[in-house]
Amino acid sequence: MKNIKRKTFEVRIDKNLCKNCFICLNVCPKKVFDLDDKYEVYIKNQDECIGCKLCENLCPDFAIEVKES
Amino acid sequence: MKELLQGNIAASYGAIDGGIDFFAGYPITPSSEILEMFSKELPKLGKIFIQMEDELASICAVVGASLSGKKALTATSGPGFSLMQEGIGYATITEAPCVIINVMRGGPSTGLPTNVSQGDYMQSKWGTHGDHPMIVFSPKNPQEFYWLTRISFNVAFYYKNPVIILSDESVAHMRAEVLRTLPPYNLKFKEKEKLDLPFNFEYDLTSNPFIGEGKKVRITGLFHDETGFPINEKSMVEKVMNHLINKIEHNKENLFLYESDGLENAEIAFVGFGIIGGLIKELKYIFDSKGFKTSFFRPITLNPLDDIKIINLFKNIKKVFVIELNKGQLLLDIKRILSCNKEINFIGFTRGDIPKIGEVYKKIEELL
Amino acid sequence: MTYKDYLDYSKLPTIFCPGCGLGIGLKAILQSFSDLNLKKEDIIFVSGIGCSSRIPGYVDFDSLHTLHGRAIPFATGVKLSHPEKNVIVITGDGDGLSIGGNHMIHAARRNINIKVFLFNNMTYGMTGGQASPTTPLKKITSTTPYGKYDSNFDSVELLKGSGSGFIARGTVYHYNMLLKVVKESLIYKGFSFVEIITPCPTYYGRLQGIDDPAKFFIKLKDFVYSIDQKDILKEEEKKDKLPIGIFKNERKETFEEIYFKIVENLKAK
Repeated sequence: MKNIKRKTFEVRIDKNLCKNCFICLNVCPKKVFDLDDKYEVYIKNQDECIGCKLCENLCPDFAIEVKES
Repeated sequence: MKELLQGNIAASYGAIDGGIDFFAGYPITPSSEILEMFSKELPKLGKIFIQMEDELASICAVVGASLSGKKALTATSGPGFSLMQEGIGYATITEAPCVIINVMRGGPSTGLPTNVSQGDYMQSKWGTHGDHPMIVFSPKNPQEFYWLTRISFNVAFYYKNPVIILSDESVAHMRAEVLRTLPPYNLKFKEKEKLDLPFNFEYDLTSNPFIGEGKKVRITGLFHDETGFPINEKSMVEKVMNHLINKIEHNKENLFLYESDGLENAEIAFVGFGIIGGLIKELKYIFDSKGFKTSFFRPITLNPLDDIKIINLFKNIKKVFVIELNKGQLLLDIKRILSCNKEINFIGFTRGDIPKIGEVYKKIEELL
Repeated sequence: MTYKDYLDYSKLPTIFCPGCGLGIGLKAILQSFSDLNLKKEDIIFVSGIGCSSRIPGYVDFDSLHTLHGRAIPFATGVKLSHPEKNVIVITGDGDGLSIGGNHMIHAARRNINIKVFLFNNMTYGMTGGQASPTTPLKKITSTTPYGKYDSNFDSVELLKGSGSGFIARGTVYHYNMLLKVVKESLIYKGFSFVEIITPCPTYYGRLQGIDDPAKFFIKLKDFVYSIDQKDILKEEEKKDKLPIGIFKNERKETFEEIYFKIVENLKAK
């Protein structure tokens, strides 16, 4: 089996701008996000990110950035 | 070169000679001649003319153009003037240098479309809601209508405030000699400090950037900070409000234009504005020839009124006769300023006509 | 450049509620500016009053926040004063179609080269969730507690009747499609109208019984269907839904082109 090199992505949430609307949590196809014990969004599975940018595009508060790492 | 011009046409030439860039308006008697005149002349000069869908759109387009740094004007009458109040109020808080001509007709409401009145005096000062600054001029004849319109843009831009020219159907429709010369008023325009932000509340008068100059100008009708961002914090709101009122209050001496004769030597004064200007002059002449010591006073600037100046001018006067084509509006200001030690009489006409001199003479004689 | 370069980060976070879609619409517009390489000094935002009209406070270029329903005539004054600039109107369903309806019709008829982006959340959000001209029949709002007594209208049909040369509708849920539609409207020369359907979770969503803003956001896809699928879908799949896509893209002479041509001719005489 060939070793396919997959692109990896870094997802960042700016907590100063995040309003915890949970849109990112609901639209992410790979379950990158989850809720912590304070009921706020955090990045649980960074490695699962496929760089679709649905979270960045659909974040109404400019709080998410997805970069190729 | 003297020309025989209708008042509305004289005002249009005044605007053209004053450098008008933009006119937006809507037809309404008795100001439609101004709209039609500009539709013909402005394209010839490469300037903008647009007939809008209503007066609300007209004032908004004019304020938008003035906030873009252009010399912008609109013209209307009572019913349209009422519609424009929101836009005029917006111009006061955004410090927009626009000019509005209101040719008064019989009111209230549809009233008398083709007849004269002076019923919008108070509305020109207080038509829009909230405390606000306002500059109002009123011409007595087509020549003055020309001069005031010509200088209005300079005044608007200098004070960063809307300027209202309160004319009436008689002045607007009469034909008289007009010389297209520089206005004779000695209004002082000093050099203003040039700032980078769209607003400033430290000094009364400054020069700030307009929209479209690439200076990141943010403008809103909400109370705002120097960058134009909305605020409602107490001390900032007070600062903004004081600035808006003070920039006119502190300069009323410079803005107050008037015409008078004989006030120092007389005991009787005839007071009026606009079209009544000719009548009060005539009254002085007639009563003086009968042996009375009379004078006349006509404010050309209706707002701001320089109270202190008026008190000084009237110090020897004992009896005042205020003559207006309404139920007593300039009267209220005169009473406020002078009634503590003078007798104030009022002669008002609201029939849609200008009274003949004989009728006014009789009424005054009865009161004397 | 990206959308970030057009934002004034010093004014963020926005006053908009969690789950409100206005920020997404703004992002699509700013991303389009960046993709089209528009310079900041060549852009002017003009807005009315309402939640969507607060958008201009967050951008890093000229903006004019005006009166309720009057963004379009203000924009007309600005555009004719600076014909070379991109004058963009940001309005809402109440601001643009209720009190501002008349001005919308006439600006479209005149074909003034301004770009209108109307954020339709089917309510008056800023003032507490009252019914608007785009709130559908029988819906509960704060002024229709027993259900709305009258129907909404289709802004696309209104703009067609007014003669607008570019008419489109998108939603903040379908981001890539919105981006495409916004870009097309910016490239188009003449009056352009783009309706952007966006959720108001605090009022419209909550009064319809949907408590979770993110769940209401996802529901947006059930409010619409693509006009590409107009002939494929069955009637009951299109019932009570609004079509999204580009409905008209026809170039015609703008007001400015006709006016300045006359000015040139007069100069020549």
